[in-house]
Amino acid sequence: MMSITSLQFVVLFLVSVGIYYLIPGRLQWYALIAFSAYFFCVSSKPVTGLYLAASILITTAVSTVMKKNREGRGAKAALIAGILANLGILALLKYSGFFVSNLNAAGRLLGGPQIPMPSFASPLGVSFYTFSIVGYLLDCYWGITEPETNLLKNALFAGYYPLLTSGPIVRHKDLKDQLYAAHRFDWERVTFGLQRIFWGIFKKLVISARAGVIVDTVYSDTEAYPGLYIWVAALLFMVQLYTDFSGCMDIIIGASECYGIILPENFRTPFFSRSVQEYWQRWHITLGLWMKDYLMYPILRSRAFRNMGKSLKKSLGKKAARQIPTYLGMLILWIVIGLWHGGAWKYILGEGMWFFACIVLGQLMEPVFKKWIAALHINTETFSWHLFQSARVYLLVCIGNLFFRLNSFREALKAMRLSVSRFNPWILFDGSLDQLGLSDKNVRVLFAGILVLLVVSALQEKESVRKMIARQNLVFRWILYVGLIWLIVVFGMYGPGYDAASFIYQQF
Amino acid sequence: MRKIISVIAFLAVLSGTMGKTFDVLWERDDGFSREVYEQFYDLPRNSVDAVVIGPSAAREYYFAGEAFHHNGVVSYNLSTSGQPFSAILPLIKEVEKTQDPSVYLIEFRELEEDSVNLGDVRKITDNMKWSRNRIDTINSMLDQYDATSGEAPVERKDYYTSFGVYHNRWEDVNAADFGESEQWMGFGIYNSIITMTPEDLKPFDEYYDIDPYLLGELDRLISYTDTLDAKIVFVLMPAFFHSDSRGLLNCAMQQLQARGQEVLFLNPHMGDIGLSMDVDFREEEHVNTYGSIKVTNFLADYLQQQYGLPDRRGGNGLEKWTNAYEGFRKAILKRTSVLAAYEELGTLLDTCRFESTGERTFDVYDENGALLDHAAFDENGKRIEQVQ
Amino acid sequence: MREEIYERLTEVFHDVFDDDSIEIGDATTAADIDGWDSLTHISLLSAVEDEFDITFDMKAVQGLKNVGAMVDLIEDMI
Repeated sequence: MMSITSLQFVVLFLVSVGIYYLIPGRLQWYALIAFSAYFFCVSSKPVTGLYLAASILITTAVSTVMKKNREGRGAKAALIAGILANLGILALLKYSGFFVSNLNAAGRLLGGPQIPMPSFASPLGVSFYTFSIVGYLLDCYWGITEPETNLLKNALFAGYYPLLTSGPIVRHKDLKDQLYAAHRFDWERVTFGLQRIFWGIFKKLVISARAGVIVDTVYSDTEAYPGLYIWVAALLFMVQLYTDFSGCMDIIIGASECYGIILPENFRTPFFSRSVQEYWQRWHITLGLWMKDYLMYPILRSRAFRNMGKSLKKSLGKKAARQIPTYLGMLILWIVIGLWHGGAWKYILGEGMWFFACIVLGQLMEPVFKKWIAALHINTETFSWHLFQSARVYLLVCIGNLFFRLNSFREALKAMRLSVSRFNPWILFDGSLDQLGLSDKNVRVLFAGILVLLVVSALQEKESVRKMIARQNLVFRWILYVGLIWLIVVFGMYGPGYDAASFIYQQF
Repeated sequence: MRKIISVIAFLAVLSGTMGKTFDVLWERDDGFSREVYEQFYDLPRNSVDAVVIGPSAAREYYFAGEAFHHNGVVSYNLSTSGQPFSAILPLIKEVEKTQDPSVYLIEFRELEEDSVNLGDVRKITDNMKWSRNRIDTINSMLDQYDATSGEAPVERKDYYTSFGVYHNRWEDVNAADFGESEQWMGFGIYNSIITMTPEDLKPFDEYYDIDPYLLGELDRLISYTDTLDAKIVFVLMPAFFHSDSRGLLNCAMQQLQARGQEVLFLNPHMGDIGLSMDVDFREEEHVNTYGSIKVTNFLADYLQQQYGLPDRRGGNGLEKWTNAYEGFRKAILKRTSVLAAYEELGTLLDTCRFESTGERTFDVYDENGALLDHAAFDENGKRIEQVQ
Repeated sequence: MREEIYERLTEVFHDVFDDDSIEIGDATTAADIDGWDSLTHISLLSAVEDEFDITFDMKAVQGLKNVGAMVDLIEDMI
């Protein structure tokens, strides 16, 4: 399993960039296929590539049919076949276990037979590329993009290796012109890409891995670490998850940038959001957009929902007629989002329903909040109010992610109960935090890293930090670049004695 | 074109920075292993006539600077504590790359020890220059470890490149890491004293079979050394061994002799060496600095007489040895109040004779047998005022 | 023609966002109007479709950048 924060990956990547710019432009996308195949085989059991190949073949066949029968029934049938086949493969690989465990639970109640748990090895990135493909098929049907009948081109679209680790989920329309085109070497683009890669490695190895040590320690035994320990772990888990996931995005988007292929962003300083709803527009952006365009909108615009709206208008009035179908659509959306994260009830109930509740309540309470704000004479344009809103968002997100991180719904509830069972604020001051697997020096490095992240994030709100740095003088720039690499080499958590942080989203 | 230059310049700045950083972060252990290897690589080509290889038994018993001062023998001591026996073969190969000694003095105490301490592996391999032989050295020792430890085979990649191990030392970096290293070819000062008695020196009556893996290593070694022009001498430095060790080392000696190897067993020669059981040992199996001077001089004479090693005092390019000797002398005079006291009298260490009058108390006689002083020492070799 | 569309469209906006003070122009985007997010967007589109008796296809729905584009589309469709 080659980690994208390993020296091996960096070296091989640099070699691939060298090859990429030495070969003729029209051959570049073939080289990308070769690189992707290699990356796949060292990251996944090569035999699972058959699932990916199956998806690619089915998608190409469906595309060919759709190209021939533009708007006719053949096109619709092909679309449905393509979507069912791809989602079917995903369901088999990722959700058959969930399905069987529920059957077995019912079976135990009714005295029926128990089915053995199926277990399938999944190809790398199956949750991500499947969704990209389904989005592509729908876009073909809706005329947003042209069906692609070239098998190899579809292979690259689905299997482009930067996307395999943790996404982003891509749109065919945005990618096709870049993916197969010839790219000339552009100094600024390649150096910016490299800088971004190292920034991502910094986030993962210096911040995420450290935060993870404390989180793992506390959550491995919540009874030994009640009260504020759980708060600390929950807050740090979001740090760990954010730096891990967005760091991964930095690495792969930066890598793709070096090839001249600009991938969509997945994060936009999510913790500067003012509401949970805004948060989900800034966290895992491509998933949110996919859900909106390919699930939410089709549902809300379906005949069933529009009729529901019309009949509600008659009985409950305009506002309810708008809100109820929307919330029902959102409910479906959040069940699916929960399910996408994993085949387990904790994801659906815990994460999915928690955020659904946060958003719906947030909307329903909006008029009430407006009254309170006016009554308390709060100025909502100030930094302090933004800070409050961000803190509120952060707290709500931390609670929701308890279900993501802990092993079961019950464990998450237990953690929540334990977090208020003891009031022990002294642990923040008496050095207890230095007993959680990280030495006191490492705890300091962790918080220093978080501070650096905050500063960079604040700067990013204004403009690209790489551009800002590029404008500075050579000595200062080089101090920053050498400094970043130096920080990674000295303070990165790698080597024996430290568990290399495992990719939290990579199991998808 | 300008971009290519700036890339190269950037990489140069980056590697320079990382190089300096790892210079500080690299391990410096109390046994000066890093200095042993750094100063070995610094030697002029083909300058040494003899090389000593072995574990702490060799390292703490032989000081190349003293030997040179004594009779002009130019040698080097490539020994680190806990050096596993399987390291000897690749280390000789390492020496042969840049040196051409006529004699190898191999201390074979580690033939009694089949297990390998991984920290001792690093003392050698983390200080060797990157080469094919370094990889062979790692594999040789880790093969012994895997064969004898009973644990799961160890991950080797962190030995091939040790950056992953040492970057973590940032937490423990201290002033010593930034300082100058000692320049005495890795020799160190050990001046604690314990008193032994002749009864403690037992003959090698027992016989226990040494580990077959080590016999295999021995055969490998001999096959290689047979191809060399250099003479190979297997030496066992004088010490008060426990019963198990005696049995194993007895077997080792016989195995060596059966393979036609030259064996130098020094326990019977303690008198010739001039070792005093009262003051020359710091523990049962190691001499202290006073004892090591005597052993060094004995071995230097032995090498010169038996193998015709020339007296190179006054020659060119041998400043490293004189500097090592002088640096060591200054340091030991500073640290040892005994010697400081006698420096005033102009009396040199190797001409004093100590006679025990009790636990760690002695009458001190000069070379003419005149009583100089009564001396008393604590366990650390520090002189204490004696109540008469 | 466009003016007429704008008049009717403005009414729809007032209705959907419950705010009679909203003014729209060619360059107006979701950022300019309080409460116009991806969810109300759908309600807005449904209301517009109802008002002008048209049906947007998904391609159009995804492609609308601002009110001006919406008006263009309405113009084409009626």
